[in-house]
Amino acid sequence: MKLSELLHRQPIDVPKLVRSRIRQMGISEVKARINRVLRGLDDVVLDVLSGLMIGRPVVLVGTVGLGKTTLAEAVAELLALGDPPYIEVACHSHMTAVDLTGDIDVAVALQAGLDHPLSYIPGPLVMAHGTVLVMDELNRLNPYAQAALLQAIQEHYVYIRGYRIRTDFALIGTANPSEYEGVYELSEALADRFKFVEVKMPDKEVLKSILLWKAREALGELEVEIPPKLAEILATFAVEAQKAGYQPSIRSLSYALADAVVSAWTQRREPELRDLRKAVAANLSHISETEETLLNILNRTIYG
Amino acid sequence: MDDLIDLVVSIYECLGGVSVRSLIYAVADVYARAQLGDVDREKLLQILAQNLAGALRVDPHTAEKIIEDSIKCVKDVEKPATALAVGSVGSEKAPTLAHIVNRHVPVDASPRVKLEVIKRLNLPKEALEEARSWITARSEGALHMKSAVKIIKHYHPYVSATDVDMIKTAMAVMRKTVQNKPLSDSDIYIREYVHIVDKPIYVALDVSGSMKEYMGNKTKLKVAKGALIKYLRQMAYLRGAVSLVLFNVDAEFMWTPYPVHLYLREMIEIVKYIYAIGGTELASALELLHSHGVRREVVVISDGRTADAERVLNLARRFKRLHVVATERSQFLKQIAKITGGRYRELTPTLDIFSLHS
Repeated sequence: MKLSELLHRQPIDVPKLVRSRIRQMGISEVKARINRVLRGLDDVVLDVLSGLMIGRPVVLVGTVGLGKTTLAEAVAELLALGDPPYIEVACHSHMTAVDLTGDIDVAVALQAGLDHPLSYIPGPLVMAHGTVLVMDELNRLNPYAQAALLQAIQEHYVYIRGYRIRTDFALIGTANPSEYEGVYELSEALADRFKFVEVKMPDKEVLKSILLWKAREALGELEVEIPPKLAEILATFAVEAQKAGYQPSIRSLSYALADAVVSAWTQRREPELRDLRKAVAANLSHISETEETLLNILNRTIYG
Repeated sequence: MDDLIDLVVSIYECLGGVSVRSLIYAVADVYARAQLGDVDREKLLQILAQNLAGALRVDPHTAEKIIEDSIKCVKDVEKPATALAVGSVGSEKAPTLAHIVNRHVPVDASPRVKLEVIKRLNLPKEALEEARSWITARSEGALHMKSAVKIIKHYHPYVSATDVDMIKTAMAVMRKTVQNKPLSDSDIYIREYVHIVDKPIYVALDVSGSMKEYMGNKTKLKVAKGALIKYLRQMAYLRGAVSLVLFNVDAEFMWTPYPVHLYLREMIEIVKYIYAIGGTELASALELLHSHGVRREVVVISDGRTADAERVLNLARRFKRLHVVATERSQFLKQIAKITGGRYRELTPTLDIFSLHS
């Protein structure tokens, strides 16, 4: 990207683009497309879209493994505002403002001039102009990087060594509840600008179908049957665990299911309950206290 | 449209002012969402909550509850008379939150389990009112607790003068002077510290009726809760374990020592539900702690109007470093802190309980 082109960027009305995209497709089409990637999250998707339609950045909140990132990507792909349809950043606590905005490489600029394509290395905030910016684990950003993000959201400009570059994007972030370690709180000014949408555990029937479908996907071309009974048990287990105050991740559960089936397959027999028990223990938790409680719950679900 | 605006305005009033930007977006969002699907009352509240969650600094689920409550507040406009409660010193028996919870679960159940129980119980009216109100624990002051010397290093810029290892530095300076060599930065030795909180810390919180007295515009209990939550956050950062004891006439563990960084959210939620009732007997808390083998690192938050002062003094002699946070100036509490070698602070909204340890 040449700096002179970037400096002459035209503003894009992203919310308007989103609105016209949705009008073009129709709501039922939107729902149908999302259902192909993610099930049981129709309502959440509509909440996200309505936020983007009015130009408000949306943050998906929920524990790990509920499909927040997949949902954000799916929404971005569905809108297909630009090419590529979205820019994704995995935020971490050591990210600097420069990592987000990009910077001028002084050595290249001195030798080849400021307009050389390599003298300015753009960051995600600049590259996302006119498309969707997916920021994974937004709450891991440190206050300095948050400030850079705030400026881009509020003023629609980023400043790089005195140069001002226009950038308009729709922002979808994901965040874990802040009880997890290594997480910064969003600054008040930034938090005030976001719409927070909660992603919840789906109910038992939906969960069962998700587990079967995801495990099927993980098994790939392996020709094995997944017993629906196992998925049923896992789904019941998830509901029970949630009642007891734990949040098992759907990702781990579906992998546990696939794991149980594969381990039975390698021993050339039908998957059984003991495979499932083993797989759940291996896949679900690494804190011994939690693991014990979860296994107790699983035993209770299996043996009534 | 007017109905929605009225609703939003009343929410604004009831919450005592909330970000106008978020409210504007919330209204716009309701209309945008109506284009995508049906919006009933429940959905409407949900959308408002999603947009206000950031401004209220809570998760969307809690925001929904707050908004629902604030809508109710419009209906009963009458404000409660201020300063209803008066301090009480006596032996009036009343169960604290800890007593109620521990009837249903073992004392050493994890805070997560206890919070679940609290949510399902029929709590007294006071507890629900307390849980609904706000707790501010904003300023997280810088953490400085030097506990153990990790390594001794040469001087580097920006270190504090208090970290200089005087003995080693003095020896180096002496040697150089004797050898007639010039002094340099490498002659100054600096201690580096590690932060360790290795023992669990016990906090005893007074929940007697006298904590309902006002201190400025908030009750003493509220201020104490704010300080306590701030303290929990700091301990979570240091990976320490904290136990909370509630006492009025009787004392009971709200939770036994648990690592704060694992249960921070649950602990904060539980603290919100704590309510004040009954008389005061500081000795009960000390007795409970003593019977569990706790001898040191205890923080007592109380107003010092205890029923049996003599007993407290006798018990306090068995402790070491009993830190005291007094909610009003109290010579008695000061004395307790003094005889145990602990520190004495008075409770203010900006108090940093953590500074007691350093």
